[in-house]
Amino acid sequence: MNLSPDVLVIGAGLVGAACAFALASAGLSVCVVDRTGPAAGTTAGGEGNILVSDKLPGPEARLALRSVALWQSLAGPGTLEFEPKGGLVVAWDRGQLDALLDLAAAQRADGVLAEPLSVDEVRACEPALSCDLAGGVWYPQDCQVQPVQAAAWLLGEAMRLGARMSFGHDVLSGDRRGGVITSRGRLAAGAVVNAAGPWSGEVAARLGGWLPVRPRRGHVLVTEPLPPMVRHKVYEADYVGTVVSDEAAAQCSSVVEATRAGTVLIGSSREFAGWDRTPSIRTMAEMARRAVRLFPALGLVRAMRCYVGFRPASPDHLPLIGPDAAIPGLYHASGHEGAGIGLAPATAELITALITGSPSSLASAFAPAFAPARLTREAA
Amino acid sequence: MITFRFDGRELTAPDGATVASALLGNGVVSWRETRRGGAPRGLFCGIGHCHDCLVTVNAGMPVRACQTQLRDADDIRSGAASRGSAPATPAPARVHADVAVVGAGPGGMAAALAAADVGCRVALIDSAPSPGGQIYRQPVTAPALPDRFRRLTTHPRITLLPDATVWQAGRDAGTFTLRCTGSRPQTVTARAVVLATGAAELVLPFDGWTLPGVITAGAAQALMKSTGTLPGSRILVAGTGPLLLRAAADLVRHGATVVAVCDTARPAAQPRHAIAALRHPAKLAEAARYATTLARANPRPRILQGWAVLGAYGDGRVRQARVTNGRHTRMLAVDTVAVSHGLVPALELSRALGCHDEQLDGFPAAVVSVDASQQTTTPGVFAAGELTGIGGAAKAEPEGTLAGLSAARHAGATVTTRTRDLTRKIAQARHFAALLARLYPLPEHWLDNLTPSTTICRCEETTLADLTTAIGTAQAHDLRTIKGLTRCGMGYCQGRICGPVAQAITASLTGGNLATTGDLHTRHIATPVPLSELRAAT
Repeated sequence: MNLSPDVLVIGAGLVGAACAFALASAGLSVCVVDRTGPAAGTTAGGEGNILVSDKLPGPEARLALRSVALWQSLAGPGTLEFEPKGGLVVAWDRGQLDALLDLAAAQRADGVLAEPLSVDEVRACEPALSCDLAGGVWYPQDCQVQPVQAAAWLLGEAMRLGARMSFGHDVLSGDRRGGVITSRGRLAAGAVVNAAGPWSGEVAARLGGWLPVRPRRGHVLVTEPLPPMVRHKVYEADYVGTVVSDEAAAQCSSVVEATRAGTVLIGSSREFAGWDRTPSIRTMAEMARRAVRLFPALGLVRAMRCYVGFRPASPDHLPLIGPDAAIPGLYHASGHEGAGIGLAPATAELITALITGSPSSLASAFAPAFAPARLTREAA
Repeated sequence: MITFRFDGRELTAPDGATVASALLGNGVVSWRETRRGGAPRGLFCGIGHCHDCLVTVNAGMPVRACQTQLRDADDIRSGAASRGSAPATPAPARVHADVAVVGAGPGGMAAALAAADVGCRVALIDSAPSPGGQIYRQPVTAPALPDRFRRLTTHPRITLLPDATVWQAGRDAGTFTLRCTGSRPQTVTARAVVLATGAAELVLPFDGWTLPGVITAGAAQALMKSTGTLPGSRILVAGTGPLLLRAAADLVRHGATVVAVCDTARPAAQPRHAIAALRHPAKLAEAARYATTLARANPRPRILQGWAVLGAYGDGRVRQARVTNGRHTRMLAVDTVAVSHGLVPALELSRALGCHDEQLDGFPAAVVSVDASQQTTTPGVFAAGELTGIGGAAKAEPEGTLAGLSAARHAGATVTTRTRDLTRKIAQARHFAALLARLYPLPEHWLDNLTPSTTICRCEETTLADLTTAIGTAQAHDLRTIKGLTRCGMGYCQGRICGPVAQAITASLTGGNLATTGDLHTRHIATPVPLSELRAAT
């Protein structure tokens, strides 16, 4: 047990868990460290989205498609609350609808299934929706998973393959001999994967590297359990616009979906507000207003809970996956913003290919697009 | 007399009945099935915390039967699935005050009067239809507050906001905003706040504690005080604490048969602490009154010290309960088990306002930290009563008066009232409260009495096995992660009932302590609020 592992994964959230599982599956010895424990950070603060619908055409959409395929093979039916329920993006007016249809056409060119729907088809698909919509696009590949359960399951599978967990470590610095120094001592390792989510920028700095990741705060409202009312993931068409926006102030766009427990999750907001854990009443009200506009019957439904989470945001809204530009042996798996749950398996696959150096079509297809070295301190 | 329908049957109930008391009075003990397990549920906590008693009234949103006044011709349906259509939501009514007091129990009432008497405009907010809190709960038909509180209702500077529950509390510069839901949406702004939000009852789980007929001791008292209804006819009172004797005596006075009072503690076996109680003659006299009531009851209840309830059994409702002293067990024929293992301060609003609280040692609860003026660590926010440590009305009243005066001073009033007498009363009440905490500790080894299938979270039907799996296989050691893995604490009550229990279980199973395990007291939405009201919040 004293042998140092091939790879040390920092972060026991879903991205770290997926990396640990993929690395262990490739035959590497793995140790996962976390300041708290499994899924204690961003993983517990999100909705469990596995989306292709909000990805811009190009490498991001293709990475998302690869990840959906991996999720489908990981999560059997009935496990991890995995639901291939599909997403419905709706537009309020002609202008929004035209922009949405253009995006869908470009996504289709990358292999995303995106089917334009008329108003009547939208309402047939989701009968409780407002009558005032202009139309929408149906994305059958969008899925949902219970992220905390999924992270715990992946960590458990990694442990079955020999991975070790070591919690309660605050990573303090790198170690020239390989590995890191933590609040509990030295942890030697051949390679280090920084999967610390919104904290990964700080972790990179402590290890002598650089990663431009900032926490982008989001709110989720949870309703009381309901009889089935919302069948799919339903988003307003301006959702993609808020994802790629650089605005610091809170921006809202409605995302509504039911969970297996009967509750309805209402998102979403994006803002740069530091690490403030207290929800904003104005943002909560705006999210409620938009959700009730989308589903009028939600007006008579009670919100039970509100939580905030911190997304790991990169400056260009694309993930940062690959080696650090300066520190040999340090790899980053971060910057997914709100897409970390969905993109985790493909991220882990890419990290594994890069660390093992195995020639793969995956690495050559994705490595340049997501390489952290694409961003420089000077440009940032 | 009120005439109403329940699932199509025409029934009657006395004036002043709640939906819960009306159903219980007609022999209906359950009116909802759980979503996952399909298990019957009815009254449990009786004071609006647990949401077990959800029911559908006139085809609207499901409501808590214990908190809903029955009206003539009401159409009550079992189940909590119906919705109805959305009415236009009125904009929240605005109430401006110098001092807002949350909770109209003895602490809150005393605070409101103290602040109003020195010239402040006071808003007194409470979720019940009339002031009194749990201790001075009054029947709707015959309000009967103690004399010293009666002028509350006519005081020119006190605005009573009954049927109002604060769902969100915030502060902006020097102004506090309390958003309320209930009979109508209301937004209260104030320059100072007194929190007197009381406590929820702690019930340590046992097999069958989700069966209809198992209720909290507080639920039994609330039911009797507000509606005169008895929860059952043959009752076991169990758990630990001084509240058990009081509840048993109340039940006997209202005509119920109390079969036994089982307390896991044995206060008489701790002579050192018992002697210290001699410093509190009024309290001893009170205990003696309860003992006399029970001794004169016919049949006379058995008082079993060192005994715990192990299980409640029956088909759809309680028929029997098993009790043990560790060496012997007995099966008692009862239809009701009224349980309490102590009280847990309700911290959602103090947390929302950023007030520091401190985890207690050996008991899964935290108390709000206050200075000598009852001010919390958030300037302008004061706390009184159970929030700062469980101590009943004797502690809540002087703390409330002091908090009210301090809040008034913070709001700009000139306060010349001498407070030495108050400070002395508070010190004495805290001394007695500390003594009780030592006399009635949480039973040791209570976890050993549970089985893997014992329900821990009543809302989400999380079992002990679910928790041990999350702790064992996923190596989750903090309560928030365990919540995410098991759904424990994710239901309607948001962990009010199971949170302290899950905290104690987690600390015990992981070898950690209660503070590092964390708790589920932070609730940014303090009580469920319709989205139509939430969207109107500005």
